[in-house]
Amino acid sequence: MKNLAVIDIGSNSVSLQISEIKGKSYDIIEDYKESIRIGEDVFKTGVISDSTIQSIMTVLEKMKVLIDKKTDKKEKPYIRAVATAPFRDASNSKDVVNMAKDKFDIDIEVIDGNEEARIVDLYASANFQMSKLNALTVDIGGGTLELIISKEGEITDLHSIPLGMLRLKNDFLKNNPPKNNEIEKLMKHIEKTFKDAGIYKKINKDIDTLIFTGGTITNIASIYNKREHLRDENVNFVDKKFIEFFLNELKDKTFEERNNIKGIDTQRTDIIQPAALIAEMLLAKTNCEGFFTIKGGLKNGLTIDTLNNHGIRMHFQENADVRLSRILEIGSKFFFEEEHARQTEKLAKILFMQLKEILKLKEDDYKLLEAASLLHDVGSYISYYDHHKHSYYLIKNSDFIGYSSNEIKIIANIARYHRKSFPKKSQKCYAELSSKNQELIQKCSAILRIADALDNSHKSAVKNIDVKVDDDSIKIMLKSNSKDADFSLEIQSAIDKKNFLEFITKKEVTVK
Amino acid sequence: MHISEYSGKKERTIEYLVKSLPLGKDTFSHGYISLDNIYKSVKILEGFAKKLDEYDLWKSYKALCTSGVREALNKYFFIDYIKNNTGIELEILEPSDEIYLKYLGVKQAIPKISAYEEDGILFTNISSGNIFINILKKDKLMLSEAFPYGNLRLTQIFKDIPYQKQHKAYEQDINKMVLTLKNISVKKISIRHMISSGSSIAVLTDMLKPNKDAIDRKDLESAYSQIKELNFYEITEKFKLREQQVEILIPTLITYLKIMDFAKVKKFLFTRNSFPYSMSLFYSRTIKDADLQNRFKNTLYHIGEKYSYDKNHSKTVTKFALKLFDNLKTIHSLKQKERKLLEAAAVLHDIGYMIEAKNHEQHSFNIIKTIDFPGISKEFIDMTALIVLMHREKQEIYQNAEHDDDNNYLTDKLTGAKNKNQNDYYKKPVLDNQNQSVNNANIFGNRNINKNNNNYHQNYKNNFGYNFGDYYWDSRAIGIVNADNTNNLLSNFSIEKKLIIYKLASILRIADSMDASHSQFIDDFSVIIDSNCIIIKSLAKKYPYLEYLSFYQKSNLFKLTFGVNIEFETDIDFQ
Repeated sequence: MKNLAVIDIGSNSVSLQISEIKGKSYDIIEDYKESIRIGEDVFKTGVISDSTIQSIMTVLEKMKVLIDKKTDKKEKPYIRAVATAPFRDASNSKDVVNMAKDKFDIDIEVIDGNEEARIVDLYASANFQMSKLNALTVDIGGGTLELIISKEGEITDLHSIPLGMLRLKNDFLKNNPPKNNEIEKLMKHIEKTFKDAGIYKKINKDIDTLIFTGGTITNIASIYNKREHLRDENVNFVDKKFIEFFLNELKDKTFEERNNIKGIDTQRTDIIQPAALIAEMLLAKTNCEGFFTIKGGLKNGLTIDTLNNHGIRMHFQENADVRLSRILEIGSKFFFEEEHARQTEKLAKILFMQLKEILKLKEDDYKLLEAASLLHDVGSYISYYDHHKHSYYLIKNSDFIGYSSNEIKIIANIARYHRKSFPKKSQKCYAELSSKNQELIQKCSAILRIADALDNSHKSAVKNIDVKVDDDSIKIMLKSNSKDADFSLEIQSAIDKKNFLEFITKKEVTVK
Repeated sequence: MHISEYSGKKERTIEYLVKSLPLGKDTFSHGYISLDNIYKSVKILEGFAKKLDEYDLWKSYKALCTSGVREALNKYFFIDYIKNNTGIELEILEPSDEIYLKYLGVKQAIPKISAYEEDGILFTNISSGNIFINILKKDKLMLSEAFPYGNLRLTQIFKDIPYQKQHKAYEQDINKMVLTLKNISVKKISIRHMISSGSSIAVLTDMLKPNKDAIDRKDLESAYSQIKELNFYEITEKFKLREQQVEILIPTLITYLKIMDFAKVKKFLFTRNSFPYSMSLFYSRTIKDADLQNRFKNTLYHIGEKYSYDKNHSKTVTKFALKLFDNLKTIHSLKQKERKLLEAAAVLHDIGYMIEAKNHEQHSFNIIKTIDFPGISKEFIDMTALIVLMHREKQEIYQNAEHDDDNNYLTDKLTGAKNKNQNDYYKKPVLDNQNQSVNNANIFGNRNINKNNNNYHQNYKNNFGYNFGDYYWDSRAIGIVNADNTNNLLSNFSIEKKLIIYKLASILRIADSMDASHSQFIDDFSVIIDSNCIIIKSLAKKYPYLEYLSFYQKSNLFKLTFGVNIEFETDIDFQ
């Protein structure tokens, strides 16, 4: 399978994601979405209206064309289409499913709420280190809310409750602008539904992280970022105080007046308020300082789930560490030599652990060196000539998980200086960092140089190393499994690269 | 030194002089050329200078130096010293020009090459300090790399290793290069032919004395297995080679064997023509590279594919841009060469998407700057990169011509104008958020989202609204370190070149806007030039909303550059 296309038919929109599979990673080559409020009909009348069916068919046809255009001509892409709440509820959804099959040979799978929640959680796990969190993940959709509570990576509760934005707006907010008593009624209904579902109490102060997905809530994050002049990232954080402020701002404003809010999605002006209200309630109950949003949602989870069904496991699923998995994903994206990268990382780790005391490095600094050793050669993708500089650039512009942008700069710098040249204050990439960070870069790149040199042959010949630190010397001894292993090349290249470590430690470095 | 006489297109060699002086030995081991060797160079060049006197050639000579000087830290001193003492002005030949000249030299000697370029050919230049590898197939340059691996360089790197172990070290090191080579040529390319050039050829021909201009792999192999058993002096005796040649013999043999393994070829071709001879032919314009433009064009698409570009969009924009160029000739008065610039920019304008969609124009810019295409000048590449950088309207070059949100924010900040909806929360200066920790949300140890964003912010502020990322090459890029905005980048070009860039970027923007949805709704268009307005009439499959919107945003630069309005009209084709 070279290409995969997933279609998510929700209450608010129909969206498509086409990706190209690259080993244990994938590149999204197309994200396409069209707003069709399928939910609007269904939640009012219980059936999907003829005109909506017509719209769905038109969109599917368009998507089919798009898939053909964007994917490999020789190898047919795998297409998976999934429908949620409105199809579950509508009495005539079978007809629509059959129609899609007849017309476009697309099999629409109608999935239940729990399955939907599980798939959303799959996507959240790709972006958060769930094993360290007590998280509540909520997919705020048009028809339903999917709630997943997970404690240290284990899912403890899965719920799908009919509190979708469109449904709430239709049932409660009948005036434009909504009246205060309408909002009160709405809040009561939300509370009651949570209680009826038996999860009201489960959402408590034990939860330390709130993660939201879904178009409406991501739009709130965009508005927040616009105001704060922050960059819209894949994962965004929205401050609790903003929600209070934003709800105030929405109050007494007509849907049309809301169009003036910078960054607002004009197709969501009516349903943005219930989304903010739910966010406010969950923030109050969990006492979190704010919430995270992840762009995408069900369709991204679907891509991962479908790949899993085909026996392809993502890096994050095999490593249980999303931070590391993302690093490997970035590496795969630029076709790094995984074996050399891992060997360099392994050797760098040993050196780091042995030298951390004399270099006054903190255990926690290792994660920077780890990323840098795994990615130090990615720049070869652009060109081998000056590849250290290209590595710097690619690392700096990649989307990491678990590193601040300052840390990413440090990682990029460590990789930047893995070859011969020493960091210089005249180089902007280095000079822009604080002197403390510069020191860290020096130390880590001094280690990385030697680790890289010790796998000069790219054959992972060195199995282990011993490091002995004296008052005036550092002795590095190489070990192998076979007796007649010849490390002359490794030793020679390490000797060539040891001067930086000697310079920093003021100790003589020997390699044997 | 090679002295030629030209009558018409015919070259006649008058004299050919060779003096051996391994400058690279200094450069590759110490990083600089020793004074002793500088004196020796002067001696040699004094002799050459006399020849220039003799033939009265001071107005028509070319003196070039390659890696041995290029990489020496004291290269400028060296060049200056030579000039002061001999009068000869040396020029440093950039790696891509070096290989290009050599390639043309070989091509002239072996005319069959043009046909080989279709089947897949590996062209390599193995000299004392560098190995260049170009792979050509189907009239495209599939790969072009320079590796710091030449034979003299290797002997210097491993000079401290015992002699009997050296060949192992060379083998391992060259293996690494081949591994890298395999890794960067992502797709498997089948290669049928191999051609080599460079100083390494001489040692092989002296040793193997081949009858034809070809060397078989099996001959190299048997030579290598014999040599492995012999010591230095036995080799000198047996093959009647000079000492300097014996020193580089083993790394040379290994390099050839490994590269031939990589290419899966049984023999390689070479020419006995010297490098100065090729230079002479090239600088006297005796040889021309007829395929260059075609090869470059094909390679552009190959580069696009490497970065997974949207081929249909790219092709459409290129088609539109060139059509606009051709139809607006009376207005822009640019020539064929500029048309090629526009074409290159149009094909590559979106390749940065692979790194990140946001700021992709900067990534495209940076990737294009790294393109090294033998025969295409650095200036051409730099101009292409800049046009691409400017294809997005946020990279505005006319100040105050247009504001985007971020700019408004800055003006707001500067003039004190603030959001109407003020409350306590917003009164806090944005940059103070740094201290505001998000304890609960501290999901990854020390990831602090606010802090994270503030760095970005700071950056933004420094750059005064234009965040151009970093120009991450400091040595190769010519004077564009710390550039704040496009204007700074542009200031490296003359007024004439600047104007070309403005004009072409204006056209590229219009072409890009007409496929803004990347869906090819518009098939074709016609251009009507009025006295005060240019009208583009297009035929679309459906109403192109996005294209309209984008056109009016993107056409501003065109208006400001050409001083004429440009309008966009669409007819819907209901077929």
